[in-house]
Amino acid sequence: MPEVLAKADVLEPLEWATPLYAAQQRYQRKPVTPMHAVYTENKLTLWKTNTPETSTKVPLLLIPALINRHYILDLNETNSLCRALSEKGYEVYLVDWGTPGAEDRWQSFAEVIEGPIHRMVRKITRLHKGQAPVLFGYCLGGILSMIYTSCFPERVAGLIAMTAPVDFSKAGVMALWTEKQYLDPQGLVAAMGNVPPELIQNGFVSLKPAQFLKKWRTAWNKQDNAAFLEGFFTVENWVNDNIPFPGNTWAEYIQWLYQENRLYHDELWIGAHHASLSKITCPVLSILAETDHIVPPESAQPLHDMAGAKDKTSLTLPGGHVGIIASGKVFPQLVESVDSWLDKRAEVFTR
Amino acid sequence: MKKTVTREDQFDQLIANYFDRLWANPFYLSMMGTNLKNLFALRQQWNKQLEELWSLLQLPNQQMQQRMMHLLNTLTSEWRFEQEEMNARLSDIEAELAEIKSLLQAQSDKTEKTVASGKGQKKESSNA
Repeated sequence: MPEVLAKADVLEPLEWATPLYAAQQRYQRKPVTPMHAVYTENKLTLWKTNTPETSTKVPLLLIPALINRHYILDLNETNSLCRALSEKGYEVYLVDWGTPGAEDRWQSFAEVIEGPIHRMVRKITRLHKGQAPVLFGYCLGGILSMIYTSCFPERVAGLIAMTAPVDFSKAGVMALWTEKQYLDPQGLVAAMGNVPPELIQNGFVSLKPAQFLKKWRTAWNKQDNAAFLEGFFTVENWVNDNIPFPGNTWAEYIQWLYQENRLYHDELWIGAHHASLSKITCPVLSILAETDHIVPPESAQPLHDMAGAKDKTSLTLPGGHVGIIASGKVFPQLVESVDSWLDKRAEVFTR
Repeated sequence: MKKTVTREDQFDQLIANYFDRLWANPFYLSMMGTNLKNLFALRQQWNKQLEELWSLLQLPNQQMQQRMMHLLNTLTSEWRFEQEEMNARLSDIEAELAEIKSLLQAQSDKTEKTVASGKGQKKESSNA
């Protein structure tokens, strides 16, 4: 007993813990790609990668989802879309939505499209002397990108929508949970204001509880593998680093898109703009994840069928909703596919 | 190679099947939906009571303050952006004007020189 006590005096508290717990406690996200802010408003920041300073290639605007932190697109040394694309010679802009405050519950869905996104696109176009950017949206960011492109087709050079649903009736369990008889989005917002991150996070975990158990069991079994733990906690940290969803935006998003499926039925209006996918005339790349349980491929596929563009490409990659960007195996495929797609259309974009 | 099914895999499968059925069960969903609706109604009532209390004290309630703040944020963002855009356009126009001016200046200098040299030539020929 005295020996143990002596040990306790010498050792740090974490050294008593299992490697898994210690790694979790010690994990801190390191910045990956050097960037600088080019535009800020309210809580939003638009970042631009430092290299290349100028490029003859089309500028890219990466739009992540509103509910998660932007750094999923700049995750770590090996899986950073920002870094990979800037190394390919593109000037990459990344949207950081910031953390909404209580007052942002009044922000409507249309305001996001006609406000910040429109201003960011205008800003980039001016910085590039009239060259419109290519929008790259991930998840909800993909939905926002395609709606923006439908409303302002002349302002977008190209559209890449990754795991972005169009037909919400095929969005699996999420579509079922958000049905009108089970969920009143306006009631939730009137009661709670912004949607708490825990609610959204628990919702995602509940979709596949067995996967959650499996993930932690694998981590427990591999807790002596430092490289694995580093990768595991990088993703885990991002997954749990949720932010509140602006209340009114969420309520309209759920009501218009999930409950009324307006985008798919061509009935979505953003202010005075009819957000009809048939109005998209720029080249479109639709990226689907084969085993995505949040956005099943059949719910994202209609973009390819409904977009009015002549140049449309659909690409299905192996992996799930997060795996498509966080997996070491799939990520190089994603980068290569996006780069070659952009490269083939370089003349069309810069015309 | 055939993958062997472990006890853990079976356990995962069991849990997955159970929850897949539960999440799609209309009885369970409508029960949870009703619970949520009641919870929201209760919270809304509480918010309403608080608001009434504030208005009794002749003070703006939380919703009013949030709305005002949101409006201010929106207007400030728009105003700052448009101002920045206008300044950028103005400086572009000024740069263009300066370029045109220098071109015009260079042209007029050239014409003056040719006129002057033409006059000189005429004088020389008349002298001759």
